[in-house]
Amino acid sequence: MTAAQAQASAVGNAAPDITRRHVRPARQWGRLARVVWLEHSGAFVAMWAFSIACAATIVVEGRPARATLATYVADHCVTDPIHVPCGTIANNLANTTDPFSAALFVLEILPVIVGVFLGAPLVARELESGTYRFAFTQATTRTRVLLAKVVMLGVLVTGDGVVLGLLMARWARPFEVVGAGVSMWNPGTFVASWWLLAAWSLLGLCAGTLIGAVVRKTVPAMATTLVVVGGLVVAIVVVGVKQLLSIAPEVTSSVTPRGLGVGALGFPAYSGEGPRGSWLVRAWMTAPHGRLLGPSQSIRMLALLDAAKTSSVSAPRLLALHHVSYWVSFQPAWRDPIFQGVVGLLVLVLATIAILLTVHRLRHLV
Amino acid sequence: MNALETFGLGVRYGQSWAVRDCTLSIEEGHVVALVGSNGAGKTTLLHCAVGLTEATCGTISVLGDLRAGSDEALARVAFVAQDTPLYRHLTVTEMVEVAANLNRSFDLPFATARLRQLDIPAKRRVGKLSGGQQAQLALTLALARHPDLVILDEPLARLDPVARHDVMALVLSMAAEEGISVIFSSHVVSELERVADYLVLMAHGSLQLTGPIDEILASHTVLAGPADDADRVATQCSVVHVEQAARRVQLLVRHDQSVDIPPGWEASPPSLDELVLAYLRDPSVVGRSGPLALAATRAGGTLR
Repeated sequence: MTAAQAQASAVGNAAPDITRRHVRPARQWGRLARVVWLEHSGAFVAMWAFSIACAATIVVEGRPARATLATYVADHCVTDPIHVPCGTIANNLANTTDPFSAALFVLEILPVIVGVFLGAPLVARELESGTYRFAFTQATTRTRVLLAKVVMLGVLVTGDGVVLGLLMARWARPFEVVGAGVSMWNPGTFVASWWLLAAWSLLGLCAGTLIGAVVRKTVPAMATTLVVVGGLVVAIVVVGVKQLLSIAPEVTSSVTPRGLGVGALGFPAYSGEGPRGSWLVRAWMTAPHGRLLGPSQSIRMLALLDAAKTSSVSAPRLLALHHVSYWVSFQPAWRDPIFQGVVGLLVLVLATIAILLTVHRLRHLV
Repeated sequence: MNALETFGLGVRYGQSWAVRDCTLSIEEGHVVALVGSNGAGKTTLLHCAVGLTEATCGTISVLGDLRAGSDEALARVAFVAQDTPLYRHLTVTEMVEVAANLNRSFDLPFATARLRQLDIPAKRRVGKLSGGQQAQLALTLALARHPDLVILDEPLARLDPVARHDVMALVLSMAAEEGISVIFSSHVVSELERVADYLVLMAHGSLQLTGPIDEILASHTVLAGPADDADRVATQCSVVHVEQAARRVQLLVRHDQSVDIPPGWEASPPSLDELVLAYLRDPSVVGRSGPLALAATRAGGTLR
């Protein structure tokens, strides 16, 4: 009899049958998915509720806009916007932009919401409450547990991003058609496209997770994520997109400077203002032999153009009379998906780096 | 095969060493009591054994040559942490399901039967259970994995005496029937002898005493005699602890072979409680010869 056996018999055996050993087949990812669901079902439900509320708002608020658009199209306003009722219809459409702006704002901050409420607590809560001492000492490695959580929540948030982004695009279409200040190129709309919204949301999740693993306290991690991811979103929307869209533009002198200025433009080309569906980067004027007109000369020329609107002299004719050429650099419409794709891939690379750093951090956690 | 083996293990947090120069080798099949005062380094050592803490220097392996905290090791080692951290928002049933899904080997019938036997409500949230019930649940989840090595950090601290008895009975029966090794840290000195067959004593991050309890007890003797003669006797043996009452003194001495009993002195074997408490009271006496220990003890004013 071993020492343990002797001691066991001495203290008595109050245990149930303990001789059976149940080794189950692998299917590890399926079982991990069940673990993630059990641990984070609250987060899943909350995220679904939030997404459904967003989607419902977009659909409900979008219906009148689509109905107005249908009228606009039926009255041939797309081809002839000067037609009498078109101005009223366009105004009606423009009046419905408030809920659109609100919904767009929510989508712009979706990555921040995901990062703060899903990403940051993912690891930080485990570390703060001490449950990591349970989770990290089971037969499933901490890396697999982390990846299972990130993958499942990642599918959730990217799915949300795709659905909400598509809904938003569908809803934004009427405003874009009538040129009511909305374009796929606008920084807010640009980052709220289905592809970028999905990528951004994933980055929010991964960045929040990394910050949680570093900060190790739930509330401070959420606050830090708010600052970091929020700051990133603001920087991208306010500065980043415009900087990005100024890369390698095409140049044309066939644009009439109707309503356009000189210098940095940075806005989408609405009907009649430039190449259809393009993003206007910059405008300038040149004299013969390509000499660039100075600011005062340019302003004077623009004033002449403005005054000529009521005269019979067309803008191109007036420019030709003064031997001046008007140039615009722009991103053509067909480049939009390319920019979206490149930015999305960069964002996904950042998300991957964030999650790899989190894995590294957890592996060396003490 | 060794259940736990360390060589020159050291763990440093900032400027202070939680564990230092720890060389230890415990064969499998033992029930090991890890004892030490607060801050002695017990939890750090156990965390190293399951990979929750990285060693600053030295090595640590479990179950032969498995690197502590490796995938292979974690598949065969079960750990119950201090304060038994579990997911408080889950029900007991869900918590069991989480544990079952995180381990390929998990005895669900055993876990269910034991929780039923303990009257732990399956539908109650873990956070609503008493401290003792949470400890029982954590222990059940660990044992249901049928590991080869069970590591328990203060498993008895939150249990009442009856629960303590039942828990250790269960652990010991598993050790006996499945041949698993058990390492547990504890402050409940009174129950060590009944439960453990191997002792590891730590103080200030270093090993103070280690070995099978029988051998440790056999290598210590309590000598009782006149206080006036204490210094003379102390020069002849290694004194661990001194207790003085009036004109009589009791020396706990350590010896490799049988001790010569001085004339006028009485010798008796120490109990494990006495021995452990003696070491805990004065961790610094280890390795000192008798007179120094005696002088140090007197200077420290701990004589009784």
